[in-house]
Amino acid sequence: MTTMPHLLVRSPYLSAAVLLLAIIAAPGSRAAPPEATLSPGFRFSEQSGEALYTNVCQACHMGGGEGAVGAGRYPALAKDENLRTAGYSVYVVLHGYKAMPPFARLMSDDQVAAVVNYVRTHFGNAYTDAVTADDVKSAR
Amino acid sequence: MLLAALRSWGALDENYAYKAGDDSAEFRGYEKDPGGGLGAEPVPGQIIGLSDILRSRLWSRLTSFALYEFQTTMFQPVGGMGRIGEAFVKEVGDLIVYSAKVIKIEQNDKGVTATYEDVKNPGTVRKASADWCVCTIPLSILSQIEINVGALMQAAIGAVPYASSVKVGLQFKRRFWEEDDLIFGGISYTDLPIRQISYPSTDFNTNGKGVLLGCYTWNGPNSYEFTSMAPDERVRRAVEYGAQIHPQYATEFENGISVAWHRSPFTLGCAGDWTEAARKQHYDNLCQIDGRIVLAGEHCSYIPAWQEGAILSSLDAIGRLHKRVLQG
Repeated sequence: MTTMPHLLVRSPYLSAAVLLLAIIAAPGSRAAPPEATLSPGFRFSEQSGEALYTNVCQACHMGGGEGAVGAGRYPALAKDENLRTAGYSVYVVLHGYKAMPPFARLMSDDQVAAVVNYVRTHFGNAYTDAVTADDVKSAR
Repeated sequence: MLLAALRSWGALDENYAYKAGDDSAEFRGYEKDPGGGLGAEPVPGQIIGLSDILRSRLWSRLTSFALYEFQTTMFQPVGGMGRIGEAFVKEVGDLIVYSAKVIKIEQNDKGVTATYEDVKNPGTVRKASADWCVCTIPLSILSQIEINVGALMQAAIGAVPYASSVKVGLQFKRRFWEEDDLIFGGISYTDLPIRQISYPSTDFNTNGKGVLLGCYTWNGPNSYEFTSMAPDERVRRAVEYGAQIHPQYATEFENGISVAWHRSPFTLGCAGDWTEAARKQHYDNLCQIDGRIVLAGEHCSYIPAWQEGAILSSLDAIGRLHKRVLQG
């Protein structure tokens, strides 16, 4: 196995071009789910909580927030009591927890707030106290 | 001196200009290559504009192979890196218990007992005991297992996030990169999400099928995004992007396979992703012998993600353990 230095390169027009092609290629067909995003830069380009969850968190916590079990496990976020405290969710996304990587450098305050609010109101979670970008900023 | 260096390394002419001509052509190639006999005079090619080169950020990719880590000649075992593990099996295979999911590691002043589930027979719990334990379970897993080590080692076990990485292997009907493009081994670096295309260093000039590494991400957004996709979608996107570099993909692609290390059930990630700060605080605590338990693996090395780091850490751990045992 080889390792690769953390050097990422920007190509700003790519995603837009690819999405456009995908739309043009299927005129009149039934609305397909949007193609998975591949961000052009050093940070995630997804903005909505749903897009961030689907393209980032889903990598480990899986599509329905059900988590996964192998030699260890990925905790389920569905019906998750740990999400009760909004500040805890924000802290874990920003700084990571145990093997979970930190996302502070890959997401803006708005993005962290969006994805935390999304998870806390989906997958059987119904916490109504939304977090704001300012909440995230002060937790950095 | 700096100007002289720039002129020599940067292929500049006697006026320190980078322009189409013999000086630049010696480095970047020709419109018409040098030949023999009549009509063989080379024609230098047109240069790419300075701002185009800079803005392409090509320079950020070129640092990869300039790194010390990649400067030495590297050999691959015939058949791939997995052959190293298989060679260990040849020597000590009768000592290995497969399908053992460790759920608890407990030590006292007499020995260590590992409790594990035989996942081939779910619910069947077994124990293995010994005087000492060299534990090579990745920290992503070990941090979820009950283990009675001291507070400092326990904190270290929970202090290392695991890197995200994705590779996609693509099989083609023929080795078009050799036949059409004269590429024999090596890597094409790109700013596309696939990041690189790596060409096989074996079986040059053979007929028939060939396999490329068609995508290799390491941390960063694209790695998480590829991991989030279904395996066949990763392959489809890798083919789509790779075709921008090699149009032959469109007709020559047969099938592909992808690995996303965060989806690997026995590692939950690619490798320990240490920061300098984390190393300062936790590395020594992670590596020291705690009672009768010592850890080993790439996560206990300064060569993360490489088998070399894992092997060196195990030799060091076993050496220290041996000394401890001899001292009684």
